[in-house]
Amino acid sequence: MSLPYPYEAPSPHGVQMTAFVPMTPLLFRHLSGQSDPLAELRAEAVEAVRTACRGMEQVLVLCPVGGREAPGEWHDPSRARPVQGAPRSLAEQVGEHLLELAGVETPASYLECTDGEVDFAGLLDPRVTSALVVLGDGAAARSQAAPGHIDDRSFPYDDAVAAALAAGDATALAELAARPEAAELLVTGRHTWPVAARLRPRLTGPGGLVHCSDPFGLTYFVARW
Amino acid sequence: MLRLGRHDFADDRLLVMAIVNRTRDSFYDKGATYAEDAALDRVRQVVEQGAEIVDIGGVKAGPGEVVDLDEELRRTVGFVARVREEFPGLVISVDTWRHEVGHAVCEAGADLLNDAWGGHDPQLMEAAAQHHAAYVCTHTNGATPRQAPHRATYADVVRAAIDDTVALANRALAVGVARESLLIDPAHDFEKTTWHSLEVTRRLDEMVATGWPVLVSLSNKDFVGEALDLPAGERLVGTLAATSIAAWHGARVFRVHNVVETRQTLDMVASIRGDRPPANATRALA
Repeated sequence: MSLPYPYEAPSPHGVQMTAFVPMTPLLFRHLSGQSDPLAELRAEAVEAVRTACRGMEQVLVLCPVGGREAPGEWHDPSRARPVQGAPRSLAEQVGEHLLELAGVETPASYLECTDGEVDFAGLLDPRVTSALVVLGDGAAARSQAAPGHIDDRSFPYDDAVAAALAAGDATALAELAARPEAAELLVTGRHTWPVAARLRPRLTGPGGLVHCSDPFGLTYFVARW
Repeated sequence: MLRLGRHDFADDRLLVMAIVNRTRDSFYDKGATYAEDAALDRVRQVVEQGAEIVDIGGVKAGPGEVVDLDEELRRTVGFVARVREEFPGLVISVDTWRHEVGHAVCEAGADLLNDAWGGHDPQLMEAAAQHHAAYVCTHTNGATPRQAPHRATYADVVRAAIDDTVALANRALAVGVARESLLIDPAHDFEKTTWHSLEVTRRLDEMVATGWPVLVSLSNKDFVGEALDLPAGERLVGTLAATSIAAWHGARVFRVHNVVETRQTLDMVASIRGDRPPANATRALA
């Protein structure tokens, strides 16, 4: 079964908890060298994943499309070794790493999300409890050195995303992802947020926005639904 | 592991040995740290700058003011004791060729005897052994201390440097210096033309391949000055270029005047080699 965005079908059963986390490669501790500028972000992301996955019977990791290019292996990016097996996206590798750091042993499956369609059939077993781990970042155009340089639309856009994550407002999150400027501002979360919104339409327990920062001109969010 | 007296260092460490001259006439500092308090200030500065070792010398290497045994003892022993007291974690080396000085400075707290005249006094290495100090085996081709080189020739300068320093190391082992406390030094400029010192630098990997840890003393020396046609005060860039090559080839200890610049150079080479993570790598990784 394929459903176009925006999703109007009722939520599948089983999704109990969701963690929204960044997908920056700097979540691999060693990549920044001797310093660790994202230590706090990493700790909060790991805690969000741990909380979301605790006691769950399956875990689905939503990954923005793309990033299967070289170096392919973010654990060891400066070596010229061939990548073993099929290349995996940056988001998939970051997601797997966060699950490892969180000590999650529940089997996880990974879904690459695009601007097109997602096939929800068989995605999750509705008879068991499930957690979502949603990778994706906000606008990447908030400083001179940012990937997208400076685009003033980044600031209200990210403020709105933060508000939607804080409020657990899936409708607002999906609507923000669908805006034309989301692609122009290099918002990677635009690929995964609508899928998350479709699978878990509302915040039902304690949670909300845990972290929002842009140390490198690109906004990182951590949220728990 | 490298054991320098009281101090152990892992094999991947690149160590900075800062020169502290208690002389009036050394070629680079020209007496700036002759006075004991000035020398102690220099020690404080280089420790702050990241030097692991200080190399204290009471006699200029080249020809100059006569410094007899009593005067060398006066310049070094009490000073070593002061440095030892203030910096218990610092490796103290003393640059001398006299065994009487070796014994006295070790009793005052020295960790390393830098025999810059290559075993001229064979009892110096015995002093190192007796005090459990480390010892530097230097290639001087049998030169007399403080003798300026003249028309030095070699069939193969690198081979000569290896043969002589390894022979010294074996002698030092035989008299009881610990294997992990011996270093070899090709001694740039000592009994060498600029051509020789450049070749020793170019082929330093051959000395490293002996397995003995290599110390190099390149700082602002004449081979740098002649290569670039620059006076002593303007040789830092050339010195750092030579330092990079020596580090790349595997030298372990670097005897220097300029600690900050050398530390940065060695850190950069170590990062290029993959032995040291960058300090703060976030470029294109956000």
